[in-house]
Amino acid sequence: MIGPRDRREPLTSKEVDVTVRKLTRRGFAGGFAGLTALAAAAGLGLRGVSPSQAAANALGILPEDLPAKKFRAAFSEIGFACSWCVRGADTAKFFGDLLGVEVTVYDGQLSADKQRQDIEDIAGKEWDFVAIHPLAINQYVDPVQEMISKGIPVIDMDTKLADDLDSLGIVTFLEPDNIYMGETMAKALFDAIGGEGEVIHTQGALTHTGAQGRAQGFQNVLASYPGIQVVDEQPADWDINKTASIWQDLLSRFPNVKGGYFHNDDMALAAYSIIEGAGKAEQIKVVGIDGMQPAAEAVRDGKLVGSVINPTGRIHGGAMWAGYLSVSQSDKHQGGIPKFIRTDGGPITKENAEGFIWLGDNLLI
Amino acid sequence: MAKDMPQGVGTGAASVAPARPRASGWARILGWAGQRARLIAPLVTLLGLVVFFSLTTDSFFTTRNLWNGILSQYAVVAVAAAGTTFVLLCAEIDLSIAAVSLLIGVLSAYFWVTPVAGIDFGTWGVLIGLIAAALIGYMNGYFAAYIRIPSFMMTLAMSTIALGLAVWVTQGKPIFKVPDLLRTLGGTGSKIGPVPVPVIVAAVVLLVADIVLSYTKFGRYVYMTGGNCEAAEMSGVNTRQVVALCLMISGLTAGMAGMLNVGKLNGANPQPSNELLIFTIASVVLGGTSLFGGEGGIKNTLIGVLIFGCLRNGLNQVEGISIYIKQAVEGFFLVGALLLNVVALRLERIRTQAE
Repeated sequence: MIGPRDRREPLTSKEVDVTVRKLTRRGFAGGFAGLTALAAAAGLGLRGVSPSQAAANALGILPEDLPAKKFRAAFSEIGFACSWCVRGADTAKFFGDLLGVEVTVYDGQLSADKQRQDIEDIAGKEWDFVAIHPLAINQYVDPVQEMISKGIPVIDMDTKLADDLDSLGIVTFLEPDNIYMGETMAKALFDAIGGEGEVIHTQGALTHTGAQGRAQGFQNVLASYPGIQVVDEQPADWDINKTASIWQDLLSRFPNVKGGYFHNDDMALAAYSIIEGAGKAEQIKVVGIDGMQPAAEAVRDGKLVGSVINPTGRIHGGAMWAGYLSVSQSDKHQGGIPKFIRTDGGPITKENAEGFIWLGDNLLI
Repeated sequence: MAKDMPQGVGTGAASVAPARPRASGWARILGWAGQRARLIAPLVTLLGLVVFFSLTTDSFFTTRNLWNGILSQYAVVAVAAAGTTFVLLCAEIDLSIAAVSLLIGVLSAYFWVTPVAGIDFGTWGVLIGLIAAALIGYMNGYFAAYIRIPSFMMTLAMSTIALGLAVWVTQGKPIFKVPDLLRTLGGTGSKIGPVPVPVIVAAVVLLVADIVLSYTKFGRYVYMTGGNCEAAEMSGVNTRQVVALCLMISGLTAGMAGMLNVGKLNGANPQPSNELLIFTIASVVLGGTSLFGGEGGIKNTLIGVLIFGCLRNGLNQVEGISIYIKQAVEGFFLVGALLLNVVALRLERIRTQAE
């Protein structure tokens, strides 16, 4: 920091020498030992059973029965700090194990710049196919074109790589129907509160195409429910802390609110905790989107009214199948892989939640 | 000495001023306020915001909103800000607050649900988390003070490490079971009488921090280190140790804030968010603590957190602000509050020079 410390005299070489020797004796060793111990303590608990392995075990597929790795694929993810993305990566690895594809996953760390670097790194190596879940539209076109020009099949997952995908030359684009997801959950919420009352619509990032689709779905259904009054629509940018903060404020302003519509499950569950703390869990009904396991369990337990599956099994699993069928030339469909595949996923209700939890635990949806 | 320092350096100058004709009552009040401009200016800002939002909305000045919307909600920020105050007072900075908070919150939940090396730590995981937080903070301090890596860079690097560890420990997946102790300390529904427990926790942390800064030798050393490091060293103060300990305190309070947050959200999600970092530093500075060290204190931080809380909460109570412009409006209010602080301090300086 700028301040008096910066005005100190620099250390003399003797001082540096003494300091280094002292540090070698205790400081560095102690400091790094501390961090290493922390990391080791955390790591000890990770007992080496990844969900893909667990899922493989659950399916009775022993490791020695798995095919040898004949193909290599790179998956570029938005960021491992996003639980949906982690689940997608696990799904890709799981299907890769089954199909004999060695999967390398790149973590974009929720940064378009970092993901661009990842994709450039990927473009500099040899792969049988590449799948990308892009954080930003049109920002990775150059390295993607480089890969395609080298003959590497590229698959686009969840969000668009570019405005003009046709001329980019990708194998296929697997996209969930965000508008459908929004419509389904909006209807579930409005019905749960009897078609009337105040509702808060907590959005993801306003610039995100998925959030825009989910907002559009909400608005589409809202038009059919004249008794519903939307009292707030500010974005929480997918951030659970921001969501909690907004809801703490809004519960003061709108004490009679009856429903909360959220663009993803993480935000819905964060707000539910605030609602529960305020003693309003009975009064306020909540829906999320994505159908992640914790949300499915919350639906089963009656905490959330519903969520809707945004299926990593179809998107990341589908990308794996598309890449595999493309490079192994074993596609049964005449005319090749369609340029666009709409990935399906249904609403989770209290009645069907257990089935979706099972499918999710085994990375099958 | 330390007790006077948070009020600014004008006090000493006023005490040696030559005798003057007896001033009128108002002039004396203004003179008293002028000497304490660093505290009075943010207090005026806070009162201005409270009056503004109370007049323009029906829901701001209500018991529910004051307890839950402001005090309980910003208890987490207040705890983190208590430690940050130490760091800023000695002219350093800690950019790892949010990431350390995230990591420690995640660790406490992780130890709660997962036996490590066959040992079920349960609630003891909270203690391990606190030790880890202090250790991380001390590492920041050690490398900043003794190795002389600028604290800006050291804590930035630590932020990356902590975030990475949080994602690694959880494998990117949220943990939705948290220790009952944290649910009690941080939960929004947890109350003693009408007072939310997180508010009590924050009050205790702020009180302890204020006692340390205002009434202990270490507190005086913090002000001396930040005010003039060379002079402090010549006075025999081990400034490196002071800096290292301040960053350790900041790590510890960041960890405590993370645990309260986990209790509040009833889950630990390794989702990065710099909101806590921005809120915390903004609150400390809004309260009047100098970014350049040596001036300010916990009373300032308390006022700063309340300013920030009232501003954000208040804007959410006002009707008719477009969601697309709300963030910009918040920024304009922040600039206004900072301007008031700067003008008040400048007037104080002019007045001191005149005397």
